[in-house]
Amino acid sequence: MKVFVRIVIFSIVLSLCYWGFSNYGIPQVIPEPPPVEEQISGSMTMDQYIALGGKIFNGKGTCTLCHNPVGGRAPLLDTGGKDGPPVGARAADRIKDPGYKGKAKTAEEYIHESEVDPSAFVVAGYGKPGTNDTVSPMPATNKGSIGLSEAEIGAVISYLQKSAGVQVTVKLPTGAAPVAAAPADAEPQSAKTPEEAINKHGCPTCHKIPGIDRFT
Amino acid sequence: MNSLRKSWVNRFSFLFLILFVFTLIIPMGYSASISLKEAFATEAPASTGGEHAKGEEGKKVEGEKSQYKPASKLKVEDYPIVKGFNSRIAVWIVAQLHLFFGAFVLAVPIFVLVIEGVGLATKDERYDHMAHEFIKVSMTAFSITASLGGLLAFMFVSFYPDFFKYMAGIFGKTMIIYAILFFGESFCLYVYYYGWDRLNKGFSKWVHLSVGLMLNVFGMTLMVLSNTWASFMMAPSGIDDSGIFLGNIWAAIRGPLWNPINLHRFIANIAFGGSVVGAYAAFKFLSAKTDEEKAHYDWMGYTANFIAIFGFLPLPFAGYWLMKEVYSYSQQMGITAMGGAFAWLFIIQAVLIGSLFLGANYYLWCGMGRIKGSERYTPAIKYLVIVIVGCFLVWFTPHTLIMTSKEVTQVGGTHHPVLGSLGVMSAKNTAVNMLIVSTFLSFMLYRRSNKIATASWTSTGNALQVALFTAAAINIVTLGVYGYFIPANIRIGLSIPQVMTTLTVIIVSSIIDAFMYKGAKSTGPIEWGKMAQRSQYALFLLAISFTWLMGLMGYVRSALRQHWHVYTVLRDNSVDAFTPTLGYAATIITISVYIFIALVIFAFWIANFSTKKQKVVEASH
Repeated sequence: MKVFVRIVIFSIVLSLCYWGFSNYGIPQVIPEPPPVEEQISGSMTMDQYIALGGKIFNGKGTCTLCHNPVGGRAPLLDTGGKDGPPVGARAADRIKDPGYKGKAKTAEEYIHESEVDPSAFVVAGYGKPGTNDTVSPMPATNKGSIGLSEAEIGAVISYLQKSAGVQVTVKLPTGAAPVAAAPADAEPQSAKTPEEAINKHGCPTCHKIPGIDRFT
Repeated sequence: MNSLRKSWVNRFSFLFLILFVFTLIIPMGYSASISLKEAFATEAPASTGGEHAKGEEGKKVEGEKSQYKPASKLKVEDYPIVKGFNSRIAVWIVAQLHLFFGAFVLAVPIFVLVIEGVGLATKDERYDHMAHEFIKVSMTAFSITASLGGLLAFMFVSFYPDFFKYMAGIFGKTMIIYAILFFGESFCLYVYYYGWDRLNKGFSKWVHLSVGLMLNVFGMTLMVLSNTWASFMMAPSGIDDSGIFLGNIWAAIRGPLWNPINLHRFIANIAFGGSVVGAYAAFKFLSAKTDEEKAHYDWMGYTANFIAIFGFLPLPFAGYWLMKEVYSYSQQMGITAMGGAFAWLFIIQAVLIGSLFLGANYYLWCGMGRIKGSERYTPAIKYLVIVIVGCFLVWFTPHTLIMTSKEVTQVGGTHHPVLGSLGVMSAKNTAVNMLIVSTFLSFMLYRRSNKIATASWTSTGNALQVALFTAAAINIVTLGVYGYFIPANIRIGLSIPQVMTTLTVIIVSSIIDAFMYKGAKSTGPIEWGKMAQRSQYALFLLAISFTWLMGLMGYVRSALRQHWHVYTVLRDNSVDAFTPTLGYAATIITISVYIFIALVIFAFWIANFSTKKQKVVEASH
């Protein structure tokens, strides 16, 4: 009986150690909640539409899983990088590329095509291994697990154009068609002072700012 | 009279053999007829990309108006609520327990058959007795597995009726085959276990082995069949974008993740089963009253540990293949696993696997204490400890650190300036390969402990092995370092030459050892039973850690689907569709592990109970 009790205690304690490490030894990242149905109002302004595009780009669209500067898995889109300026600015050049076989005639159409048919043009070095850059590993964003609506894809394009500093050519959606959008965040509160704003956005993490040497 | 009896036994055994072949052929034939008929109807391949298979047969069915319906768009009210039950937690725990027990009862017959075969080949009855005891332990577990499977099916019907309906609409035929196979497995298991003493000599023994083989064939078929449902939920194939089944069941079965999951589960089951019977042997060893009992259970524990490690060493390679296929199917899913919300889960995995490696090696080093002649190798243990602990720490190093904003400022980023570089896959792949090579070296030293090679080329053989291990270590580390200088998508490919190096060392060294130690001089017998008590706790550590690891990896495999019952097709719109934190998941896993331990103790107690009764009967005679 003594042996049995010892073994049971050993097993319980060992399992509790694993439980404790999982709870207190690592950060408890709260995954994004599933996207919820939201209404895009017919009276939405272009700025709101662009902001929604940014939210989708960084959230529901899961674009930044690959289009980020860390992994090098896909070209950067909303900022410039080794592949050139942001996609909003370089899109017009892509359709002039001799290797381009898609149907887009304008920059906006090119970005749209890249979202719904990613293999129409694969940037050199980013194709699926063994396909000689003819097949993109990117899923179509209007299908499958992402499943963006046309209005949402338009919002992302407007965000990418705005990020590139080019003219936003996307038209605002009319009516009040229901689309699945990223969950709404709490309304951001404006900082009251420049110091508060700098600290709030974590600028001192990387930048040395005279007069600000610590978080408040 | 005796010859007449023998003749009847032979005829009876032969009839049994035929019967078993038929029990195997009928369900397999039924399964094959469905699969082949539908597979040859079209030549459309299963999906290997991120989208669902939609070959020629898809167009045909669409054109003819499919008899199958698209996946429903579920609402919260489509999920029945049973008061007092949280559907997801209930299904999670029951499914996990079913998988624990399923893995155990599928694994035990595999190594029992091998051990029985070894006993027959060597004519050493100890193997036969041990095999019999192993299968005895799994008998109650078999009933528990079946009960849990039934409970799980009821829960799916009760809590997730639309999901079950959708799955049954596609896999209904395979579910019927599953039930038939289950009967076949039960039949074989009972004949195999209860016929052990009766079918123990001459031709009967071969019949008994054949029954064992049938048992494993049924078991493996059950496993690969049920894996189709799990792999379909992760990476559906044989359907169109709206989830309409295209009519080809083989296309739905042969999803891109099916075979990687089959292999991974097969190997993991062996490691898991070995560790659980190892815990049984350890318990019996610690409770043993006589030296004979101690010797028997010490040997049983060693064998179980050997089986667990034998399954454990190739497991990371099967894991790589599975993850490679996950990336290939959906890069989005792969990144979610390794670089997204679940990235920290792999640090927990590193802790568990590190514990397993340390536990397994510690047991082997303790075991060298009962072997005369092992003193020659004990000085090497401290170097192995350094390498194994070092590799464990590298694997355990996270890429980003948990810091406050202030600390981030002070450190200059979320990565530690020095240790941060150890948190990437290049370092971790190197560490895990070195861990495997070191563990194999531990095992080699253990095997050599009481032997002195007498072959004329022993010095050359030893030099060759030293060169092999050194070259392998250099190659693995160099490839790891090289990985820092190339892009991530190319870096992942380096794991293949690293793995090949590790496998080469294991295979070539084993071959050299086998020839070099043929007819070796013995320095004395292994003194079974003379084992430190603390070593037995290493066996418990293995069993608990394996169970926990299985729960953890089962969670991540399932959680990768995120808010989808069937990825991209049937969305989970229940109130529990959120992905929980790792702490939350750890709580559920711990509860599942505790329930599993309690049920396993019950199964062991039952097995022990019958032994006691048998001994009382024998004593009264």
